[in-house]
Amino acid sequence: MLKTLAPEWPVSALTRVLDALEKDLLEAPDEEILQAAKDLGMNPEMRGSAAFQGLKFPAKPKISDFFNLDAWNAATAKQVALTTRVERKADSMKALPLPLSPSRKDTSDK
Amino acid sequence: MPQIQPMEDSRVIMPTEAALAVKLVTDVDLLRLKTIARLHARGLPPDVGWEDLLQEAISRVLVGSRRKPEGLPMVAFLAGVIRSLRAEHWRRALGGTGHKQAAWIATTPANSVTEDPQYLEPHDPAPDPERVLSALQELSAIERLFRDDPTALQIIDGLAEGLSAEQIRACAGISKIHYDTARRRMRRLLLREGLTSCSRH
Repeated sequence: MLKTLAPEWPVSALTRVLDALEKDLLEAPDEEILQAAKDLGMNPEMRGSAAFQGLKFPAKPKISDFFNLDAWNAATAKQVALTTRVERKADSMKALPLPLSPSRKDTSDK
Repeated sequence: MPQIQPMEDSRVIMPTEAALAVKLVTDVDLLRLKTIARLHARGLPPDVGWEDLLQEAISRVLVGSRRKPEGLPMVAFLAGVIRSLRAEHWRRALGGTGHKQAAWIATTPANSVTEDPQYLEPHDPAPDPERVLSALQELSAIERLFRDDPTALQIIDGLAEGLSAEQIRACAGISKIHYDTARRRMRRLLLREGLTSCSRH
């Protein structure tokens, strides 16, 4: 078919094609959608089915899928809290598990 | 001293999950919307994905910024929101340089603006070459999808020209039965393409 040589032709043509195909997808019966998923080896009746990638769980993995970020979140919350630098330092000194003052080792330790 | 209280539940729920929870859509509706969103994400700038279109559309309905008219099915309404979001993204992408130019004019004395011929040129409303190229690539990608089906290719050509079903049948010499069968084949292929792994689009 003859295609007009206007510069905007590809853009309007793509829009028309996408809109027409969208209408087809809206009219597709539910059974056809489920069958398409089954053809791809997916079982949409399962909660973790790959068909729901990007819908019930993200399509791309996140950093929190691999690391526990709770500790990091807690530390950040503490940093942005409205406390002075001196208070923060005092808190961190309290939290230290070992005393800072040096202690002499006994002979029994050797 | 005020302390930031830890959240009761640290989970972030996606708008699609919220829509399912309030029974706005069903599982199958979501699958249908996924295929539609992936279709509309074709040719969009790379920073906008199908997930952005779908989650944003559902968010707008959930927060009430888009209200569904009476009698319109929810899936059709959401598809319309996705379509308008696609147009919105393109308008923003095209308006980028225009806004910069307007800002430059606003902050520059009037007499110096007229001295620069670059700012006397009228704005070209035609799509920029990048968008034209992207649209051409996407049209080729859609044609590649149906490369083994000559009838489907004829239908795609007709749709691109803006022809109706009758006009396509008349131009390509296809019977109604063959046309309807080809449209069903195209639909099944699009569904498979839309539900397949999300590595692209």
